[in-house]
Amino acid sequence: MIAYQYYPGCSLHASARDYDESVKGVLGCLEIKLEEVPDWNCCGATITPSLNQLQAQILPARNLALAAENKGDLIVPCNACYMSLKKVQHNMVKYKEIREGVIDIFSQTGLSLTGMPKVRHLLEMIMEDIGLAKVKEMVTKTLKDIKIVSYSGCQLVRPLGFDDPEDPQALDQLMEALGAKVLPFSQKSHCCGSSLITTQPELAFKMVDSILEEARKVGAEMVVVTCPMCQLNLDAYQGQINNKFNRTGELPIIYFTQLMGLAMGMSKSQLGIQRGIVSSNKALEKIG
Amino acid sequence: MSDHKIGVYVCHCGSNINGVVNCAKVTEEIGKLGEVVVAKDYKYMCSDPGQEMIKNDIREKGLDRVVVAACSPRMHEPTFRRALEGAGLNGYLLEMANIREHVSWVTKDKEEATKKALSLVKGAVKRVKLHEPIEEREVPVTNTTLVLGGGISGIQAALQVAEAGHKVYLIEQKQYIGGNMAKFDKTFPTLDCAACILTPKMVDVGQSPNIELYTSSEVIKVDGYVGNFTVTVREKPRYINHDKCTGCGDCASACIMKNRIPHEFDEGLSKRSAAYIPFPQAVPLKAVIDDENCLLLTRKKCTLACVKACGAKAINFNQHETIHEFKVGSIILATGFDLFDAKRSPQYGYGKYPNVINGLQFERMTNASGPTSGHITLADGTEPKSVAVIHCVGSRDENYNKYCSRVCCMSSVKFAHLVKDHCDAEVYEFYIDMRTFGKGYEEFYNRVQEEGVHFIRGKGAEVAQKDGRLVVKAEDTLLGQYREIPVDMVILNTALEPRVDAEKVAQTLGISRSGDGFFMESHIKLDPVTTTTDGIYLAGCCQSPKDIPDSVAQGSAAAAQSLAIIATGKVKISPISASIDSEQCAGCQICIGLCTYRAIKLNEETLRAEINEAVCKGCGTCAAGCPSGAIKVSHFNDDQLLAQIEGVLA
Amino acid sequence: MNDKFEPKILGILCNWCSYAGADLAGTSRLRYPANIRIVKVMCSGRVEPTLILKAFQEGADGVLISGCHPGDCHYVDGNIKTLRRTPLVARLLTQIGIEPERFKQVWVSASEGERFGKIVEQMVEDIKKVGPYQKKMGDQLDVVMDEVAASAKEAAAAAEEKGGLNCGS
Repeated sequence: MIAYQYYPGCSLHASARDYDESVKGVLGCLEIKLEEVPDWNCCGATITPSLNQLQAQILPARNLALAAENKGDLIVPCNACYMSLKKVQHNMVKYKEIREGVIDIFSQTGLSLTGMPKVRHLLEMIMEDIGLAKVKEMVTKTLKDIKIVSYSGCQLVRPLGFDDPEDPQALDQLMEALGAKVLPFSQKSHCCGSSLITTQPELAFKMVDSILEEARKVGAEMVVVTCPMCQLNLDAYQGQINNKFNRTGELPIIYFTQLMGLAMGMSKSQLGIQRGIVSSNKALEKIG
Repeated sequence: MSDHKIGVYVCHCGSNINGVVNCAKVTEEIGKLGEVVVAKDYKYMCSDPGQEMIKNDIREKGLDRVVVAACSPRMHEPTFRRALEGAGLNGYLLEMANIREHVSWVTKDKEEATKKALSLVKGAVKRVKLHEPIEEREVPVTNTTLVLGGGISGIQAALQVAEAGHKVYLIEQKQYIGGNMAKFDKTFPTLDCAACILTPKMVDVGQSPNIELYTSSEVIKVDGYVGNFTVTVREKPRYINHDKCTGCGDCASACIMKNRIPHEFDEGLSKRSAAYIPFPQAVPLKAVIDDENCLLLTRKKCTLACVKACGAKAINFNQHETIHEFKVGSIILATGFDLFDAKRSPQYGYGKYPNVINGLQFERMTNASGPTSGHITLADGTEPKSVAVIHCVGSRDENYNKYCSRVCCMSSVKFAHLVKDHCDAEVYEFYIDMRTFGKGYEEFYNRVQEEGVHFIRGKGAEVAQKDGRLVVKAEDTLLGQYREIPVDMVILNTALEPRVDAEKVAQTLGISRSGDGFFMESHIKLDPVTTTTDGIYLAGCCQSPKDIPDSVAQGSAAAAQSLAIIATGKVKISPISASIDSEQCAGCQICIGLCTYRAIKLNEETLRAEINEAVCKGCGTCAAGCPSGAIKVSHFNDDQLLAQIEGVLA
Repeated sequence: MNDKFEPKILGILCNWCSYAGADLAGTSRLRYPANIRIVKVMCSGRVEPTLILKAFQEGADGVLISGCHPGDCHYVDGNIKTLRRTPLVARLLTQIGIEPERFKQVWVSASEGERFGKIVEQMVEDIKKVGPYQKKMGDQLDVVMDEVAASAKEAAAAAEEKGGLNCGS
């Protein structure tokens, strides 16, 4: 039994419960133990740095301090949490002022920071540690060439991140290993607008529309994602956005772990698939 | 051993050294050492008064050894050696301590720097006592030159040397000379047609009695040293008898593979046959048979339509490669550049969208003798209504090449002008900065601005397809707005990079490359066309990206270097070489296997090894391997090195 | 471990690549620790164990040998011979008690000024961790050096008498 530490992030315990369910289900099948970091807090994502630089470091840094140094890598399923934790880790190593500022505040709360585990995205861990060969072995119900586009999102591939920033390949390869037909997609790492969907919807809607329209154009039946924020923007607002830009055609937005689970023989309810706002039922009919 | 009289001179180099190292203190401490009879410090030792100081002390105080603590010996060792000679002392009785590049320029703490400087000077003092006078060897210079690369720089260099009355071997890898410039349409800033200005030079090369031109050839081995190189060249067969071929092109029209093979000269925009003429103005204007695509050569089966069509009976499939050996005095490297492959930046859609092309492809397009007869057309044959030009693709980029390719701003502006000239399209230039620095360049830029070209200060970030059209996405930093501009055609102005075989060429010639992969010059400002290997010179883009005026200037400069040694007829080469003490030599022959130049042989009678001084390069590898310590390397003897090690660690 | 300990490192650099690289670090005004003292040779192939042992004898805490990258040697393959000798020298050093951190052989090209500085920085850090070179090892070293020199002379003399050794290598 291999063990890792797990930082789910706020979304996975709330609006993206289905992602969490599918992660635990799939990793359980692969006999991987996930130990959630005790008393973890919100990472601050991309919003906090615009408010206060130092405080923006404290939020994610606290999670790194709470995680054990030697209990395995810290696996993060959400793109924004991943990049937030990686950035603070990098900043603390590289910038003395940030390191000292954070340690100073920690010492006031009795928190100490002696060492930090390695921060890895869930997709990264699956590709590097488990490997495609093992994943293929576990496929009992191939995805029967269901046409998908893989949307890695932007935070995953930013500097310090994982995979090629212009044309990421990992998610493509993983989906192919499950038997899906992966279509060429130019919007793979284009931003979904993130929290701007609430503060500047005009702008964010345009960004989401570019992604969905391109997916429809290349003939996708589903969009596979790696991040709960991307999932929310592409799924929950799809109706509004389609109306605004006069688009027809619904696209279910599904987590890569949900497709993995289906291919490994788990049931839809085990993977929380019914929680998607745009229903996946029709698209998934062909898989059975 | 009688005591020596050592003079030690510590240079301030203005404040370069003295600003960090306490020169006065170093001088004082050194003055206390035994056998040091003169210890002085001075502002600029390399200046006339500085050198005079040394000469006077040699003459008046009878110095027999000199130490100069200053800049790197790679800078001024020859200067100070000459100073010693000027006062009647052998130049090799000098030792320099590098307290600038290795101390003052790299150390922050003044105390540490002074301590380090003192150690290095002590090492030099201990070493110099064991120096012996050596005479530099003079060797005659073969008065022929080999120019490697037949582009504009190589052509210029070859013509210059030939005009001075000396023989040149011009070696070119392709089947024609003219290099990349032969593909251009108009050249900036005058909009001279490239072929018009290049062809006369190419023809001169072809006709010059002093230039022997070898196309389809490459250098495979270089032996020897300055004044006396032996260069081995492999000439690939063209399967055409040059004496008979008239360049009529009948073979090309008849060839079965007609219009099947992407034509390299047209950057893939047209197709050729396996037997073909490179281009109408090619020098030499002879056909070529491509041995990778010719059916007879690859599959041994063909109707031989070309042979039947050739009136001059010039085709000969029995040709083989020829190996030539040339004895030359110097080599000029003018191998040019390759373009950055835009496929490495997938966000621009090169290779994905048909109307995204690179600069060289655009040159072929606007060229009247090119694949579209000079018409700017889209893949479907229609004329574009809007064209985007994206600067800096692969240049100024942490992901690919950090450097600026120097010529692209001007060529981008030229492209804009040519689009306006050939058709009615709108032109959008996406730039980071405008670098139009040369003579007539800024004026040309102004002119094109007035032609109504849109200049958008923001690097083209992505070329996407929207609603069937190409769209360039960029941030217009002057407007402070994100813009998406739909266009019909995108020209990517890609970086100039070192050739793909630059590493192999550098190793064959025995020269270094700079961090960016281009061949390394001796000094970037003061000596841009020589290399640290005597007798090998550089010209053109193989040294770094540059425009045609600079390439031509460097071609002449390299030729001047070559002519200089031909003019004196002799050149001094390093006297550092190894010799074997036959009394110590045990005849074990370990050294023989260690010498890469095969300079060591066993004397069959005495059964001792002997070194041929003329061939020995003085690397010292044999000396390090000799178990008896029988090999001495002049100026790098064990005792000299051990003394220096003792001194620097004191 | 002494906080004030500043190791003395001897650097033997080849003229064409490494020395030029160190010069480049200087012309680029890069900063690196002043612990290193550089001695120039024409080729890293010139470096024999005697020079390295002498350095330790004279109190060096570390020795750095640097030459051209394989393939780029000005003398074609002098550096390949250095590469062959290095593991043997390293083994000899550990046998007489000199820690492996004290001896390093690298390739630095004429354009790698920044890298040269980083190599020196790293080596200083590594040697600070093992501390100053123990002088008592030096006595053992002197003994070894004298023995080597003596036996070489003996062998040469004996071979002389026999009329030369024909090893036929």
